[in-house]
Amino acid sequence: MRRKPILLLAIIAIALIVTPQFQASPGGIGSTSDDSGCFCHTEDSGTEVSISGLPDTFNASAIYNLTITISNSDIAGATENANMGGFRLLIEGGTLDFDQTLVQVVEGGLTHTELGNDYRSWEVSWTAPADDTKVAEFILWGNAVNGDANGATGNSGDGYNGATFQVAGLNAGAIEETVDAQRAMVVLMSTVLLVLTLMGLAAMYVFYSQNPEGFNMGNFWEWLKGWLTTTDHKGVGLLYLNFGLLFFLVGGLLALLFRIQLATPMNDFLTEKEYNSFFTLHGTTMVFLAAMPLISGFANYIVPLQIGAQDLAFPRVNALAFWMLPGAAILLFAGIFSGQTGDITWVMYPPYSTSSGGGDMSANPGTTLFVAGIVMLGASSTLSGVNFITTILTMRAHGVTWMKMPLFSWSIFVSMFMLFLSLPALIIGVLMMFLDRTIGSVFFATNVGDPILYQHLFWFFGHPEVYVVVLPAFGVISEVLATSARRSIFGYKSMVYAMAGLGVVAFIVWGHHMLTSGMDPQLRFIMMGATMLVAIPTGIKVFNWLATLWGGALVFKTHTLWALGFILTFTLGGISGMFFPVAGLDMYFHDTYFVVAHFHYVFVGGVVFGLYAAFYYWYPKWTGRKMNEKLGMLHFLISFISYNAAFWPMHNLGIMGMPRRTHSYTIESGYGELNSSITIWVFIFGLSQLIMVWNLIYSRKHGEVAGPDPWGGWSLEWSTTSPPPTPSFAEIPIQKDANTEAHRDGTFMRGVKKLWMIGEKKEAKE
Amino acid sequence: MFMSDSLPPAGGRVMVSGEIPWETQYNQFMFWSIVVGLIVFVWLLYAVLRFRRGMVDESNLEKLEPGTFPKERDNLRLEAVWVVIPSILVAWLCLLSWTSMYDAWGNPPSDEEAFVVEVTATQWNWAYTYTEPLVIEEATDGLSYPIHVSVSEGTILVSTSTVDVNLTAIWTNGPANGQFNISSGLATLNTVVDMHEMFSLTITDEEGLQVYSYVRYAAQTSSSGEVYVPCDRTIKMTMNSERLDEADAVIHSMFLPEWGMKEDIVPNLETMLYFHPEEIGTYDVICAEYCGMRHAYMTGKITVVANPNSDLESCGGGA
Ligand code: HEM
Ligand SMILES: [Cu+2]
Ligand SMILES: [Cu+2]
Repeated sequence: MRRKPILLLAIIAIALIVTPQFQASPGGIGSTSDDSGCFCHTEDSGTEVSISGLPDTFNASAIYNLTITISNSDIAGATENANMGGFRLLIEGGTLDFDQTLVQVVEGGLTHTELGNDYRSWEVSWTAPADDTKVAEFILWGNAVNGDANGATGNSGDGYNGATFQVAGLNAGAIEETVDAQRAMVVLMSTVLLVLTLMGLAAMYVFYSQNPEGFNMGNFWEWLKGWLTTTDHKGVGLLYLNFGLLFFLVGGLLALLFRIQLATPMNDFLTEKEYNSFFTLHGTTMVFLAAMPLISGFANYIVPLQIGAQDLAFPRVNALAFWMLPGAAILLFAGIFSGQTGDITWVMYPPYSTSSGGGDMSANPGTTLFVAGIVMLGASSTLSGVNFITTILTMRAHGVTWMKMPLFSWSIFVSMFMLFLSLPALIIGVLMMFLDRTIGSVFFATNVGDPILYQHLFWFFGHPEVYVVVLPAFGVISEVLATSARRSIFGYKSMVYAMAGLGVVAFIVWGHHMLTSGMDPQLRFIMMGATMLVAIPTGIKVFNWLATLWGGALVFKTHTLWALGFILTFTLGGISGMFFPVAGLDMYFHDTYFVVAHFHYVFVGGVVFGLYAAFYYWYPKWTGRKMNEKLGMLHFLISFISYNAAFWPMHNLGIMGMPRRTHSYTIESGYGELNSSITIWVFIFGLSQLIMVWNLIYSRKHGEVAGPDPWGGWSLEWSTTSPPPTPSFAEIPIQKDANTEAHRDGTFMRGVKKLWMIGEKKEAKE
Repeated sequence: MFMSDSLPPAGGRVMVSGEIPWETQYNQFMFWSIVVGLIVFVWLLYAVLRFRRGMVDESNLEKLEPGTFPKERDNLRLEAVWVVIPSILVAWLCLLSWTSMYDAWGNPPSDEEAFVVEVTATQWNWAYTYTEPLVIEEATDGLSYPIHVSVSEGTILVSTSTVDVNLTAIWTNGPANGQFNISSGLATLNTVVDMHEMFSLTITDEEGLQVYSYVRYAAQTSSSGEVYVPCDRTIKMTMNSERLDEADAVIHSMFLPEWGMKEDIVPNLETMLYFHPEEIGTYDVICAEYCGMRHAYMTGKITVVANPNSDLESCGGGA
């Protein structure tokens, strides 16, 4: 066992909990995150701090003269006008006026000057807030010093202490008891420990339920270690799937929370900051921690089986890519426990995302870690990209030629290639942002840098990214529909070309997200035209699926239903997408709920439905048992209906002009009714997902036993046992070919040849 | 920035009264959406109902066997159909959107022809500065005698066509204010008027009823989040984002839902919106680009006021 790394990790974690986070501030004031200051000195309860002159309740805009006093009988100040004490005062509410020679403002708080160091009391005048329904708060830290900083004892021998004073306005209600906030790091680490414990217990239960008699801790540890250290593509694939599903539920839970907030006008269920960080986390979680890991999970498990490889090209890199995800997740969520997580939306536009130091006007401090988390996700995706591209390029079994490769593998290949090519733009953008936040670089600073540059970088990644997640769903649907219709896919080769075409076009349309962003209008023209082109390859795919069904013998399994549902909702999402590249319409619809409706139709109705089909379709492959069809149908029916009932009205809200990312709306706006009904349907949708979770658990033991090929599919994964052995093929298989012609041209080549022949015939005639 | 600088970052359109500005184009796209949607859904429904297991002879279908690439199936003509027809449709839709592009971004008006308002967005407020004064005059309905007011730096002049009435004028100009009588159809008051401050004057008759009001918005800032613009003129909003206190300036977006347009307001880059209102009324201003905590509440109003020079009745002009 590797004790050393574990020990090291434990030490780091404990160190993070116990060490104060020290930040240097100008003026030599040390401050921790809660601004207590004075860490260069020691805390001493003998020091008393007080403010005299504070009223019991303040009158609006009245002026009060205050005296700040610190005292400590044990610490005598230095004689002869030398150092005696210092203070730091932070106020919430009102403004302060003072003698500038003795008192100064540093980092948003008041403190003594060099000269002011020679006293133990200071005078300031306070102008109360204009709003007398508020409660003003004074946080005061005082330090009694012995004045021998340069002498024998240095800064020791000084003693500081702090106190908080509250003054209510004349018309304020009773002062609420405020609970002292815990230190963020303590909360975070405790939560991580709690989550780990819970997950450990869950894993233990899973292991226990497999074989209750043979259970003991030793066995369990061996089994757990197997999972934690696995590099087998099937093991890593299942880890990815579990991880993705977990975060799908987390992201969904966040959505439910902010849907409650939106259910009624002028609601205050969540504060603005909470709302903003919840939808930020929701978007980022759904895209990066749910959809992408689920896709990676299927890719991991299925692609090597489909192309007849024993494992991925770099199994350890694969495991590394997975294990970066939990780290990234911790970074992303780090701030949430102290209410300070990133509130910068999933697109993270600077200068808001690089802003700090402006209190409520700036992004939450947790943004820095949030951005670091994104960098980590990028690293993880890059590794997977390299791995899959290499695997598919070099490890296809005999017979699995480019034009005989299952469409799911093709979709993963194109999607990983796109991810690999587009990620650098995101990583560069996000790293620059990280530097702007941490070391004060000025890439996106508003006076010298260019905030729109970030938008180009983000969307150069962001648009391909939406195809990265939707192409694998296309792949799944192609497999599922052909198998369910009990025949081969229509137009295999044009399907491949369409995917590759999407892969190319997707790179030149990023600007459609920025049509109103102040981008050069000429660039807007180009992006508009290019965007419309996307409809053509997408159309080819949809029509080929329909042609596959035509004349087939369709069997209705749960995965078939999801695939048919996918065609419906994805087509709707694709159609509403055509409204955005149009200048005259985008000027209205951009950043309204019409956009929210559109991308949920393609994300949920496209990606998630596709992944659900994949779950039902390949579940027998990794467990040896089918999922329960009755529960599956129920899940489909409830989800499909509630999904449409919830998301369709968002189009109407968009048409009514409701902007997205809004904490609330007025009663007069008339958005209330639709929003309430959306929230109700969303809850039904959310709860119905539990049916599938239950089905996944239940069927592992009680499902119908499946052979190697339960649905009658053709690709290589169905020729091995369920679950497959490790390594996945005892012997590298050979894929046979039912086509009699040695090489059959696809539609595309035949089209080209036809055109060519017209030319040749003409020549011959002449 | 990227290519040429010949076109400024701008957006705008002409609003025709009583019309949703994006409606025509929306309907065109809706029409084609329904056509495409119907084709797909009818096809899907028919295929699903008609070609189920047990309803077709399966021996004609390609066999699927594990480990064998099945017999391929395609059809050059069919596939050409769904490449060519969608391409034509896309070309047509492109053409449809092309026209709106020039309305939207093509021809920003010059400063001379337009009524220019400088917009300053902060977290989370709208402030407006006029570059030319805006005068709003309003006479009570059915007033039998016309009233004319003119203001210059040293004089306030009020004249009417009749000498029979006894009127009182009350004026304010920044901190200054005053009152005078108009008895013989003409009154001139010599006083210092600060032309950079808002000037307003109301005239009441003998019974104390208001018969006339005159408001002149000068080159001044309105930070109430409300702005007045004249009807039937091209309004050009030049927009900037400014910082407040310690925070950085951030991106906002001015969204005018009734006129169906928006354009981002980016720090360090002047963008603009232009429009030509043709109906008096009060309209919403919404911030559409996430700008921090109170983004949802960054709203305001634009009031379009009568323009006597207009020919349009909806603009308070005489037709
Ligand atoms: C449980 C189902 C879901 C519900 C109820 C839901 C609801 C919402 C709502 C109402 C918003 C708009 C928030 C706002 O603008 O104020 C939103 C934003 C978003 N959602 Fe979802 N969503 C769900 C599932 C998903 C899924 C599966 C994905 C992606 C795979 C997703 C991706 C996003 C993204 C990217 C945003 C934009 C966040 C931002 O504006 O920064 N959502 N969601
Ligand atoms: Cu896009
Ligand atoms: Cu905003």
